[in-house]
Amino acid sequence: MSSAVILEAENLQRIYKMGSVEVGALRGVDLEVHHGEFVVILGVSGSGKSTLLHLLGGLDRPTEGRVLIEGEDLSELSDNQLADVRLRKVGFVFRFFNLMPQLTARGNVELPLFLADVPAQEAKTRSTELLDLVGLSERRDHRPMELSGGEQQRVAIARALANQPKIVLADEPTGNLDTATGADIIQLLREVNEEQRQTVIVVCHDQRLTSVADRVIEMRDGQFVSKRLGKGGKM
Amino acid sequence: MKARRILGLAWTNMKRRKFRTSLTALGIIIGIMATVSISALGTGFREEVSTRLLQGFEPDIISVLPASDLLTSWGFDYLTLYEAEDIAEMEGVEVAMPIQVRGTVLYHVDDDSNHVETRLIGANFTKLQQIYGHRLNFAEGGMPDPVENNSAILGFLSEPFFHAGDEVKANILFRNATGGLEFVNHTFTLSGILEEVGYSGAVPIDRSLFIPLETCSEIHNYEWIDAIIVKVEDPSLAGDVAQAIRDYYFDNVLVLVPSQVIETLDGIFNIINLFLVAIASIALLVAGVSILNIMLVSVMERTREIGIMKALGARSRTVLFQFLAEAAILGFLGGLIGIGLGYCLAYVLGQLAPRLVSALGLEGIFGTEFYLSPVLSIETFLFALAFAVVISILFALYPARKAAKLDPVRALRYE
Ligand SMILES: Nc1ncnc2c1ncn2[C@@H]1O[C@H](COP(=O)(O)OP(=O)(O)O)[C@@H](O)[C@H]1O
Ligand SMILES: [Mg+2]
Repeated sequence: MSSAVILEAENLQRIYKMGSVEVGALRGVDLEVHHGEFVVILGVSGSGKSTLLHLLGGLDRPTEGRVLIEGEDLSELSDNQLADVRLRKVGFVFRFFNLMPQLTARGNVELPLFLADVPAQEAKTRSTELLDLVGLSERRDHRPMELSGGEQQRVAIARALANQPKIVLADEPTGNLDTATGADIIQLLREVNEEQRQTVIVVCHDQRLTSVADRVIEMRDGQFVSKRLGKGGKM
Repeated sequence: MKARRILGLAWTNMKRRKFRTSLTALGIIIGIMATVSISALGTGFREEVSTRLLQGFEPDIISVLPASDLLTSWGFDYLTLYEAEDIAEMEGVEVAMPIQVRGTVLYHVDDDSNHVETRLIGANFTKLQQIYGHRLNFAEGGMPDPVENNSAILGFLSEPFFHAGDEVKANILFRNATGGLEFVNHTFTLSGILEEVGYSGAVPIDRSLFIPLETCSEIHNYEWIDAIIVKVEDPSLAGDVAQAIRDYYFDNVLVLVPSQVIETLDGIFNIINLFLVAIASIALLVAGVSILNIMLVSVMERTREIGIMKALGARSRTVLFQFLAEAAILGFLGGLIGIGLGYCLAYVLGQLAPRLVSALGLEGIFGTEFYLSPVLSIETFLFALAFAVVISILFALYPARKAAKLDPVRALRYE
């Protein structure tokens, strides 16, 4: 492996406190992801996948351990700086799409661009490109309500790519889609990974994703239990 | 995120929830409407009354009237020439002019085809000149010289029936000794017709027929005086002289000082204003609480959206500003609509003013044509608008902070 390490996690732990009960959702995870890699983390529901993804993307802070993106330690950042990391360095894709219902497909893709103060004209060009890329040239002005699940997830992927992030983090992106549509989304993520050399980390329990992964990690009870190369392995 | 973008996003959100937005704005609209309409009418009323008062403002003239009070039987029932003489001798008094005031109908002596209702004022012409010389400009003729028993001058009439030199018959209405109404006719020679004065003071000049006091008294056999018009040597003495007269007659007379009347009115206006401010505050407080309430519900409902915004990289501040922007837009539009409706309401109420005046029996003071025009100054407009926006933002502060502080992970999990 020649390319640079883009993301590191060291001894990540996350304990949720619910009153006097403590839930150890993540119990010491180490991870190193290289530029352009497609990593799939498999695990059953409740194994701590979402928790891990939130920590990797700076949406939450670990109880123990640290995350470094391009060598930058997220634990040393203020809330505002962490927001900037989410804005510019990572792109999230969620199971339930999480689009803004009042905005059109274009509006949703432009939202992170405007958050980053990209001028209107540039944002328009960029959103057009991205919607073309995910195959939604015809659906730019539709609102989420008027789009199918698969189409909504495509908008979400376009939105995640808007500010050219270092890493795309996807949380069960096929979990809310039928088999065929799910396969299309897997295909799209793979294309994005291969054609743009975009680093992608997907957490899911969809075995099909292992076919496009460079690396597959299995997770159980907040820990990694096995690591192997995926069938997509291009390294 | 740029302010324009935040406003745009806020506006999109508000459009999506038209009903809720209107409901929230309703409080502001009603509050501002109430405030603006009352304040516009109040200002209109103040200006109208001040104009009327100030036009005839005579800082050096005070009026002495019998203070007869039917309930307490305190006070003089009438004044006499003796009081006029006494007052004339008092310090600071330049002229004291006793007058009688009656109503009359004027005809030409041998032609009944035209007649006009006027006021009849019995007064000494020399004193009238001394007090009102500056207001007595003759359109035709001049002062009678010498003054005869049947001399008369006529104030401005809109009907051009009478001219200098005309012989006129006055049909005078009065109350006789037993209290019954009676008429008496008397013939006068008009020595002059006055130009229009346009306003009234202690002695109205337009539409008045001035005749010598002695003649007035003789023709209906009545020696009591209705009022004594007093000119003081200097306006600054008006208050002191008035008090001296009150003291001299142990408060059995009523003494009116124009500046004191205006001060009293000003005091009343200030109380009314204070009252208005109180109403406005309450109305807007209610509006504010409704904004607070609806915004809190809105933050709950939009928890997930807030989570998305944060996941995309929005800072807490951006979320805060987005909610405040919604409140500001709401306040601005609600304020504009409220001001518009408030002005319309004030206009309608102003048109009803004559009815109110007649219902209260105040035609004597305000006349029958007392239409009130609402007055909305630029200052009031801007103040109301700013107030609406500030109140909205103030009450949105708490819900907006709540939204900004939401933990993104929890917010995203929220169903
Ligand atoms: N906010 C929270 N408070 C308490 N427990 C939580 C919270 N979020 C997740 N958990 C618990 O942590 C564990 C891991 O959750 P999660 O990361 O969502 O797993 P996965 O995404 O793999 O289904 C679960 O047992 C879950 O119940
Ligand atoms: Mg999960």
